[in-house]
Amino acid sequence: MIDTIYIENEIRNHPRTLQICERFPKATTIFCDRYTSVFNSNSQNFRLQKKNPALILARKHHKHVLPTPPGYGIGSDRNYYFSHMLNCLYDCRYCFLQGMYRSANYLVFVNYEDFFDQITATTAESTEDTWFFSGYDCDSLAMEPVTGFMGEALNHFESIENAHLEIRTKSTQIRSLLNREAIPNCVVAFSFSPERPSQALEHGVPSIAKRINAMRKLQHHGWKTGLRLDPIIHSQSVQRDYADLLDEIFQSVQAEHIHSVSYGMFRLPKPFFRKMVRMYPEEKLFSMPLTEHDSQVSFGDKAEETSLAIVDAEIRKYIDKQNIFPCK
Amino acid sequence: MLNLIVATQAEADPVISELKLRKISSSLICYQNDDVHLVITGIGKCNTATACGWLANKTIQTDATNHTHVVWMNFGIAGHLDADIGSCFRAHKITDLATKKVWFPHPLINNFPSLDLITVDQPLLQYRTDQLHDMEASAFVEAARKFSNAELVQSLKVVSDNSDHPLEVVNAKLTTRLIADNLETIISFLWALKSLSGTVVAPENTIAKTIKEHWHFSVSQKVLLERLLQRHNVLLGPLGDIPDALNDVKSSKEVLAWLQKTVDSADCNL
Ligand code: SF4
Repeated sequence: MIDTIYIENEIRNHPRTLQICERFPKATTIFCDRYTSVFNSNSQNFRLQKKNPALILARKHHKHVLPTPPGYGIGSDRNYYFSHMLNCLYDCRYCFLQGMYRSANYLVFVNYEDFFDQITATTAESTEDTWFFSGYDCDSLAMEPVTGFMGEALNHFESIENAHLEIRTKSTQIRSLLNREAIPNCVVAFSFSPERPSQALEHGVPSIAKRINAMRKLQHHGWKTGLRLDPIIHSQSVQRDYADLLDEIFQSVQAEHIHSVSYGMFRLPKPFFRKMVRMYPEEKLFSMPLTEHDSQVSFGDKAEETSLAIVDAEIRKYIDKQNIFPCK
Repeated sequence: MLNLIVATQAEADPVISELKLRKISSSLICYQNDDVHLVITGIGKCNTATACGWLANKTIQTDATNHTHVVWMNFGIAGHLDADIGSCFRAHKITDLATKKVWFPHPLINNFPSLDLITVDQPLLQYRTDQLHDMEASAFVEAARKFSNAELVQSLKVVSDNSDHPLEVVNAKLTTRLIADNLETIISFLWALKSLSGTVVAPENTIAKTIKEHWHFSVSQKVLLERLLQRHNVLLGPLGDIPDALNDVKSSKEVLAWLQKTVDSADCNL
């Protein structure tokens, strides 16, 4: 439960600030000039903050929408992402956010309209379809009951042609999606790892069964759904693990209504990896035989090739090739 | 390890006796036991910053491998416009009135009552609304954060004066009583911080020292050695002593190659 909320002075009376604060009547509110003085200050320890993260409410001034890194996408040439929130309720040990940010506090930008305006403007730059990915710097739905962002984003996406939204999540907070009609230009994409890595690494995340159930409900309600098998952790049991996982998923979820499946290996930029090792020296994942190449830490070409081929083959048992997208 | 920074003897006395700290002979007034150091700094920012540097120097010498898990706490009395005398708060925002610098100590302990705090160079004639007033915390937080994780640097204040009960009537006896009345809160806050600090202590790798004494390693080889031993710890358990396989090994390069091979072939399933 959030017991502390930092609020930028500039948005202290913003209706969304007031609305969010109302959800936490007992929380202590602390005002600051710019969120950066809390979020970016020196010598913070992500692991310690994760014991009791605070909420930061702020305004984002620039760069509401950014091009995705190369290789990120599901078939389109025009791919962008946006982050109305930085950091996550969950605590996946492989998550790059721990390596990227100094703070584990949840940062929410309350000026949603500026995101929506830039999404419209970016879409208008081309007649081609443009994809927008949410859930790059946070889980898209985990904090939805607090932020209500996705509910508003869907209203916006409903009204713009050529714009497509991917809501990437491990959360089962799907009420705002079930309380409205599905829209055709949105895919709700659930991330999964097989049981063993999930248990070992995805702390605080809803169980695989619960996520499958959420996916099933959304499909039933008419939403396009996607599967994201990322990051794959190389192991001797990859084939069995993914066969079991996909079997479990497709016992409940209709493969013919899956919009897309993407998959990718565990990889981290070197500086992020080093920071994460310093924070969690006892973590088994970080002690596996990983290699450093081109400023990335990974399982290495050979292991990647093996695991990717296995996972690809397992997915193809259920999904047509044209709907499968390897992340580079 | 806990480093306590306190302005006056009257504020420190209840904690000194509760923790059974012994006075040591040193250039600053310092009390300690095996785990805790407490320095009485004197009033004001300059004294406080000096004491933090001095104590860091003293404690980092004895704990050189990893000092960022050391808890630094400043406690003492503070003024407030209308908070009850004797109430105790954590400073959740510390502002230095002179420099306008601001710090936001993280709410590491859930639901502990907290307030804004302003550090002043001279006692103010009028209390500012909704802020604790003291003369040390900004210097403390700025200095202590150089030596530890920001989350482990915290300031606790007991309200000693307000608009109904002015600063002039606060004497050493009252100060000691106010701290003594809050002793349980202060000590339990301290232990809670200490227990949380345990999560960021890197495990000691004693075998690294033995191996480094046995063979000559360059700086970059030492870094690699530490990392390989860390992986060995996680995947195969700690190396108790130099393994037999290294008995006839002549060079550090061979040691590293053996370790690399050993950890890379360990069972890596999660
Ligand atoms: S759910 Fe996603 S964003 Fe959240 S911790 Fe896990 S990997 Fe990171």
